[in-house]
Amino acid sequence: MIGLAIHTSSPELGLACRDLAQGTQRSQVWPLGRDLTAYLHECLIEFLSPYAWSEVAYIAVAKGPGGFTGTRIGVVVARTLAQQLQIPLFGVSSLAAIAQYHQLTATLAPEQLDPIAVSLRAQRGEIFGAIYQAQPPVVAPELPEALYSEADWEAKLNHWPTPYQLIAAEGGLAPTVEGVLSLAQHQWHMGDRPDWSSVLPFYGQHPVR
Amino acid sequence: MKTVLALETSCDETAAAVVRDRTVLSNIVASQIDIHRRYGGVVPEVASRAHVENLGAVVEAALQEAEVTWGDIDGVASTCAPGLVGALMVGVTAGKTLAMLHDKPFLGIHHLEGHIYASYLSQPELQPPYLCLLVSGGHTSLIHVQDCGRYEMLGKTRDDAAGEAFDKVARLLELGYPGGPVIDKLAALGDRTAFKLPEGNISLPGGGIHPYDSSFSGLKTAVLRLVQSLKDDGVDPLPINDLCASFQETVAKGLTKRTMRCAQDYGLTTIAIGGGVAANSGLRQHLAAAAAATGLTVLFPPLKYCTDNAAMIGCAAADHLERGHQSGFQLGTRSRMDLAEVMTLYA
Repeated sequence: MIGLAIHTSSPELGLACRDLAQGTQRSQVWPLGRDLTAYLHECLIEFLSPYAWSEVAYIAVAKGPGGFTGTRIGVVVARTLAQQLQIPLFGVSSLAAIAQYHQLTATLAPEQLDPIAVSLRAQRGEIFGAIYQAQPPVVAPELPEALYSEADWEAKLNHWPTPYQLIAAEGGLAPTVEGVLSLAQHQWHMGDRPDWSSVLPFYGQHPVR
Repeated sequence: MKTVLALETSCDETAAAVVRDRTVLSNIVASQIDIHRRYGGVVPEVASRAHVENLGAVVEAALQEAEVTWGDIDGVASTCAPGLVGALMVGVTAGKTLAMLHDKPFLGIHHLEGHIYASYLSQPELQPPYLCLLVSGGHTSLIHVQDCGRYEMLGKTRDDAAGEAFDKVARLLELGYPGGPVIDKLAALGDRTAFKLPEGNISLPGGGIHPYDSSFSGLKTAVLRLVQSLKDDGVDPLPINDLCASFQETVAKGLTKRTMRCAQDYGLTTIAIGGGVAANSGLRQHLAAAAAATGLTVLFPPLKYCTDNAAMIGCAAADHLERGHQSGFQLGTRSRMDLAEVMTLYA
């Protein structure tokens, strides 16, 4: 059985899977841009091989924040697969995935890392921000993700009581699909089994304002 | 005889249906009208978000109501053009995913071809050639239906669609959204000869008028000026029922005249009506009377197949699938697409 993760919140496609019996995992990124809808399914079929769909135990998806359309496409694929296969679906924050990926790829042990502040540019000059505590096996939110004006985010960071490392993400988030998989795997291991219908894109902004 | 699961998300209805050839096994529609009413019209991003929320449950309901398993399904179809691109993408992505997972052929369907096929759902014996008058919030077209995938656009609107004109006039009369049903209801209480409004003919450069094309933008402006003039004259309250009746009469008369002329010019004896405006009582009365006078047959599908639905998409898909047509997973979505290009959707 495997866990499968999908990331489409930025213009690339990121896929990752973990063999639950062997504990091995792999990931791949495709720079699809506007061709995401045209090639996503072919990439999925190619990536999943040699596993069969019946071997997928759970699915995880980056639910945003990020590009509205890209995020929506990934979530639709994930919801449809999970519904049809009757398996759990984990919706993972794109910001948490960035922090978890940073922790996974850092040269220092999680205990030695400063809190991880993650920011991502939103529409209308605003910023999505969150701060995570680095800790094994997964990061924990210290400041939950929220939408800030540039000035408010700056002020939040300036008044943060401890040293932190800032990741100002600009795009190219697909490699953090490994963070998505890692966070979902932890939840799976802890016994969480969320239903597909509970996972929706996190837009953070209303389209009419 | 093919059985298809079809999805329709081109605008503000999230719909799924199971159709076997020309028989509807299930037809589920989750309408977003209440969501968009507060904005006075469809907001594309809001529509896309609602499709994501609704589609899974709608698909499940369609399969359950049809009492079929995936073993009974021969193909999966989604509306892929024309429409709101973000909204179309939700249905196409879900359709491809279902087809991929269950190893079924995937077909993209042109939304207008779906409206044409709506007539077959209530009239399974109908066969081309015939004329289709398609009148909705997004389209006003006279289409010569020659065969599956073979269509000739004979007439169209040069600006607003008929349904769009109903919505805009309802807005300026402060009647809310959508405009069609409320105008139809109030028109029944008014005098349709109270005000003379322009029929929206298209003048040709060399003189004369285009026999089949329409314009509704000028009609909407004429209603606006009329309302302003009544207000300037101190008419209070406005004769809303008479305004609705006169506006509806003008639209119905104009469309009927062009449709009859087109059918007669092309020697077509059957006229199938499609789209949400086909529910309008004024249009139905005018077309039925004109058809009776000329010996032509006019077919009105039931209302549930006139407005956007997935059964009509499934009906079109079943015919294409029967003929061996399939789309690849690389098929994209398009906001605009000429009906004459339908066959480019299939490999």
